[in-house]
Amino acid sequence: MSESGQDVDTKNYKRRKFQNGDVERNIIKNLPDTMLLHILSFLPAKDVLKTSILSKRWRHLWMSVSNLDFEEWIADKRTLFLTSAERAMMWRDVPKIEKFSIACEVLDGACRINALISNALCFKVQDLSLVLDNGSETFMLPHHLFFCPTLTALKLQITDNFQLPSTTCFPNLNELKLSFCIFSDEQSILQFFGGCPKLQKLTLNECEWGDAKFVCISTPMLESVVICDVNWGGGCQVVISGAKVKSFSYSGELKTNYCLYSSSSIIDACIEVRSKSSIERERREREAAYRVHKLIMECCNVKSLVLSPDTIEILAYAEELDLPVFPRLTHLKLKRKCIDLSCRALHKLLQKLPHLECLDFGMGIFLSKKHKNFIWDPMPPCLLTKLKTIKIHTFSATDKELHAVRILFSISTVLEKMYISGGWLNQNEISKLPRKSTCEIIYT
Amino acid sequence: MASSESTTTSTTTKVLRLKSSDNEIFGVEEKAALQSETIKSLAEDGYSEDVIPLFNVEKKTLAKIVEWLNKHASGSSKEELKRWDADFVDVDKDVLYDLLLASNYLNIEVLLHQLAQKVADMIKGKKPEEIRQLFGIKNDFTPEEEAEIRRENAWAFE
Repeated sequence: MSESGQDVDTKNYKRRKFQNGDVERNIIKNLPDTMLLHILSFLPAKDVLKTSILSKRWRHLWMSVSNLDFEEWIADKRTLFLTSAERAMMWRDVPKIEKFSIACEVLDGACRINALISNALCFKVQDLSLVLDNGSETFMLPHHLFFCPTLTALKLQITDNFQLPSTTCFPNLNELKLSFCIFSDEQSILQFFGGCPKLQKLTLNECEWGDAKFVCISTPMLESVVICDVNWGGGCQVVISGAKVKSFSYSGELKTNYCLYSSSSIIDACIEVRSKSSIERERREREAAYRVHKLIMECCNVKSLVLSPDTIEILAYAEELDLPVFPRLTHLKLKRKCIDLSCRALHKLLQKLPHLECLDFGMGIFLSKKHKNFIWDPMPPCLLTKLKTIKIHTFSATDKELHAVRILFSISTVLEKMYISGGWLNQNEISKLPRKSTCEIIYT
Repeated sequence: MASSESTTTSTTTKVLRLKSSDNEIFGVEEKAALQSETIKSLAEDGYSEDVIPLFNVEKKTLAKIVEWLNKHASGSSKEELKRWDADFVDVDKDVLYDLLLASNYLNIEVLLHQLAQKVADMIKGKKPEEIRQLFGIKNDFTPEEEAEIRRENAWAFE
């Protein structure tokens, strides 16, 4: 960059004189077009289109924005919305779209929406997100969408009754998020994932496996798998395999039987059993206990584990099942609800975590006052040698919560930091509590 | 001259010297400085032993950029970095403008991304008149032209 380059810049962007003699400030309107387009790429289409009225300079800028994110859920505005989207596609000034999103009700607009999607595919879209509410009508997406070579990320959230085609080919797809989609049968599932050789991140949210009894999800590059199946479970077995899977997350009611064939590579796992009460109501406690036990066994090499209290409580329904020792686990987080410190399942779990350094109570902790001098017997070894950090979230300083903190202080011998976050904090009361170690209390 | 012995570790940490447009010199550890693609290519071009001149960045902006480079090379946790970044971009729009231009010139993609996101958040949901006021944009359309634009994109303006 030459000195003269600096002069040009100075002249262009700064100290330009206003007619009234004021020196113009460095304001955003003087940024080069490429940077304005970068800024516009973070905005929803409605805000982007609005900028066309700011001034003549902005009049046509929107035609070159790389991301188009259209969303409209109000029925009265649908016609104008689709017209605007069509216009935006027609007037594009650049031959590419990086990201295209459309979120709306389908109603009578299936053809127009499909034309928009086809148009985006012609612009070699890389990241496509379709959130469409279709009522109960059958809705088909353009066939060539499922053979798109440019897509690297795809999100399909189509309600209801959207059946995925049985043959697909996404040679460059890295990230796939499917919500409420229906796979038809075992063969088509195999073909579907077989058509995604570069898939790294997979999210399946409330998807249905149709008639399949055995499902295998196996792609060579797969790194992260997120499954949520709260409302669905057809009793099929789902095998997830991939030598590179680093992260696995499950939440649901364990109606489906999951198997992980990549347990040694997984570093982070999250197993969130939801709605223990409905499992109990349906008398599936033992079945669920065996399934969660199997998942936990397969994740025993993780460094970081997230569990819901329901997950460990469900385990208690199969007392005969022993938990494995987690040789590498240093971080444990409990989320979804406040946990009782005296819960036997928690004690049992902590016994198996000899290297635990950080224990995070994501929704807080409590202990009934009737356990006056509560102590774990035997004491989990991690509390005596490794546990340096405890985090307590959503702390509201009730007697039961304070009692739990008091006990944690009295049994953790090597604790260095206690993080407490929540609304009202009676810091004095906590600071007064006796501690077994020289532990710092950090309020966040 | 361009390197110095770190006091806390036994390894030698190379420090690059960056010169602002108004001739202030900043020392930045190489690892931190190389987050800027521009500095990286200047260093590769043989400037690394000498002072690296950054003609387009004034000292007050460069000081802030150096602060960002250091923080992002410090190994802070993701959570902490997120909080710190939110605070870092929470500045007056004049400063934001200088940072945008500087991070564009220095080619620091992550920072540029954060700053662009910040400006986008300022624009989001606002009426055109409010955006004009915010950034001092003069409306140079005739009322007829303006009406036409509103008609063309009726969905965006209702």
